[in-house]
Amino acid sequence: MFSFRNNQFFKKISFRLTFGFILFFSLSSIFGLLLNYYLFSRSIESRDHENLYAKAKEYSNIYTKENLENFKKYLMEQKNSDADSQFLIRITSPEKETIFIQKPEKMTELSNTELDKKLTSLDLSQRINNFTVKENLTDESEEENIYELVSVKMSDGGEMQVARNTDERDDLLERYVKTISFILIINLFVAAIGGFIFSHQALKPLRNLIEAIKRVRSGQLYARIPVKHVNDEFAEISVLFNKMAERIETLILNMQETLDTVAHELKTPLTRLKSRSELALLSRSEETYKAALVTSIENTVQITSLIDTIMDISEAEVGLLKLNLIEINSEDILNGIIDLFSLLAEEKNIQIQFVQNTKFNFMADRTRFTQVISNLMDNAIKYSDENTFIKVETSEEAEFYKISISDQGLGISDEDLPKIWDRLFRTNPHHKEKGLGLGLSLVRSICSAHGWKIKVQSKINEGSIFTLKIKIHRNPK
Amino acid sequence: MHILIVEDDTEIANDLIAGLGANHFDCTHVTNGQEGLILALENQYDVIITDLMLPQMDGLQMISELRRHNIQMPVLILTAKRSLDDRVLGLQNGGDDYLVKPYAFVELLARVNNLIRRSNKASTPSENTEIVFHDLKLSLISRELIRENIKISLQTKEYQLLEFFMKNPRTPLSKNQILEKIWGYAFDPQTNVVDVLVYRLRNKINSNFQKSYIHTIKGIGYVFISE
Repeated sequence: MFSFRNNQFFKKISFRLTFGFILFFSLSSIFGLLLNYYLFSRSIESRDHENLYAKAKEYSNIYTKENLENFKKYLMEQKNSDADSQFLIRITSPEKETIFIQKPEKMTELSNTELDKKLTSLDLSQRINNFTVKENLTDESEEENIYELVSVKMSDGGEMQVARNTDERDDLLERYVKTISFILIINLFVAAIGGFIFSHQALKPLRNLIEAIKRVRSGQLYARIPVKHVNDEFAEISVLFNKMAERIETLILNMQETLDTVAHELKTPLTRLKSRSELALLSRSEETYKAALVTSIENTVQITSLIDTIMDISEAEVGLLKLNLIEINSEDILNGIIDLFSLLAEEKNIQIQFVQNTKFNFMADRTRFTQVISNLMDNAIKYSDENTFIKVETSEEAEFYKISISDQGLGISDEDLPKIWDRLFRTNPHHKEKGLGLGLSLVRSICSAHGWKIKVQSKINEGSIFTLKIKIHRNPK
Repeated sequence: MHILIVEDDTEIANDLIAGLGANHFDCTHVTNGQEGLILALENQYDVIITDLMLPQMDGLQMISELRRHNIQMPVLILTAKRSLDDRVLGLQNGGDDYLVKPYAFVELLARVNNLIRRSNKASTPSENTEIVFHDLKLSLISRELIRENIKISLQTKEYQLLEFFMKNPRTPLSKNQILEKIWGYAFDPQTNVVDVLVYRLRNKINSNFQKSYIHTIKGIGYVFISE
C-alpha cells in the first residue's frame, strides 16, 4: 500500500500534502504549547509572588505584635517546616539599619555581612525585586541563583524583607517544558502518520484514475474507476472518466466489429468478382466476357451497399449518425412507402391494409425513417406466403405513437427472437431470399439514434408484429 | 458541348473522358481545384464535373469562388463522402447536382444532360400532348397507350414508367434513376420493385406483338428501344 518505489516520491502531491499537513499541525501545536507555557509560567510566578508577599505580611505582623526575640523564637519553631527555611529574612530599622538577617539554608557561600551589603545596595522600588547569588552545588559546580525579594513597610517605619530563590519554580517549569516537548514530538509523529494516511486516502481516487488510465492505454479498454457515492470532485472526475472510457470502448469495439463484418462480408462478392474475371480471361468467348463484366458490376453494387449499411449501423450505434430532422406527417410518409411495396405485394397476391387509428406529425430524418419502414415491409413481404394480409397500423398509447407492421408469415422462433437484431443473423439459412442480414440491425440502429423503441412479437407459422414506438413531444403551450 | 473535369484520380478522369467522348462531349481535364478555377474563369464550359477532395483547393472552395465571380456554369459534384449533410452543403455552396462514388456512368450521363438542359431553358422542347415512338402512341393527357390501334390500359405507375422511357428513348436508365423518378426515393431500398414494375410494363406492351420494347442491359439497367 505504501509504495516508495518511485524516486519521484518527493515531487509527489502526496508528499507535499503530508509535509504541509505536518508543518501546519506542528506549527499550530507549537504555538498552542508556547501559549500554554507562557500562561502557566505567568500563573505560577504570580502565585509565588503572592506567597512571598503573604509571608512578608505574616512576618511583619508577628514582628510588630511581638518583639525581635519572640520573632526569632517563632522562626526557630518554624525551622522544622521546610518551607520557611527556604526564605531569606531581613528586618531593617527606620534608619535603614539591619536589625535581623537570616539566610536560607542553601545559601552557604555568602556571609551575613556580604549578604547584608548586597541587600542594602538593592533598589527596592519594585514590588518584586530580583538579585542573583552564586551558590555552590553539591557536585562542586557553581550556579547563579535568582532571588526574588519583597519588602513590606512596618508601622515602626522599618521594613520586613523576605526573599526566596526561584529554583523550585524553575525546576517546575523545566519539567513542564520537558513534558510539552515530549507532547510536541508525539504530536509531530502523529501529524506525520496522520498526514500520510490523510493524503494517501485523499489521493486514492487520483491513484485509481492514474491506474485506470494506464490500463486503458495498455489496451485494457474495460478498465473503470470504482466510484463510491460521494459527491466530491474526485467522484465527479471518476464518473466523467468512466463515461469517457465507456465511449472509447464502445467506439473501438464497434470499429473492430465493423471491420470484422466488412472483412467477412466483402470476401464473398470479392471472391465472385475474382473468379469470374479469371474465368473470363481464360476463355475467348464474348459471352463470358460480358457475363464477367455484369458480375463485376453487380458485385460492386453489392459491396457499395454493404459498406454503406455497415457504416450507417456503426455510426448510429456510436451516436455519430447525422440525422436531418424535419417534421413528418405519418399518413403521407406511410402512404408513400405502402405505395412502393404494394407492387411487390401484388406479385404474391398479398393485401396491404393501412389502418390509421391516429394521424400525427413527428420529428424524423425522412430517409432514415423510410429505410426503417421499408426494411420491415420488405421482410414482411419476403417471409409471407401468397394470399395473406399485411397490416400497417398507427395508434396512440400513453406517451407514445405506435406504428406496427404485422404479417401472417413464417414467424420467428422464441429461440431466434433475441438474435434477429444482431448483425449478419439470418433466421433461416436455406431461405432463398437475398439480403445482407443487416436489415434489422440497421433498423434498430436508426431507431435508437432517433430515440425510438422497436419491439417484435412473433409466433412460428402465425406471423410477426414489429412495433415502432415514438415518444410524443407535446407542445408545452 | 464542352465539359471541364476536375479530378485528381487520373483513371477515373480517363474513363470519364472516354465515356463522355463516346457521347460527343469535348473534355478538358485538370487535377486540382486551383487549375480548375483558373480555367473556368477564363473559358466557357457547358458543365463542370468536379471531385470534392482535391489537392490545393477542394471542390467546394472552387465552386464558391466561381459563384463569387458570378459564374453560373452548372456543376456536377462527385463525392465519396456518404453522409447527406455534405451533399446538402455541396448544393448550398452553389453546386447544381451531385453523384456519390461509385456511380453508374449512365446516371452520370443523364445528370450531365439534365444540367445542360436546365441551363439552356430557352431550348426546352415545347410540351407535347402525345409521344410517338414507332408503333407506340402515348397520350399525355388521357394517359392512354395505343399500339397498332389496340388500346392497352396502364396503371398509374406503369404509365409513369412508360412516359419516362419514351421521353428518354435509346438512353440506358439505371434502376436508381427509375426509383427516383417514379417513387421519389433517392436511396436504394434494397428491393426489386423496379424489376417488378418493368416486368409488368413489358408484358403489357410487348405481349402479342413481334417487336419488343424495353430491354435489359445486365448490370446497368434498362433501355427503351424497339428490336
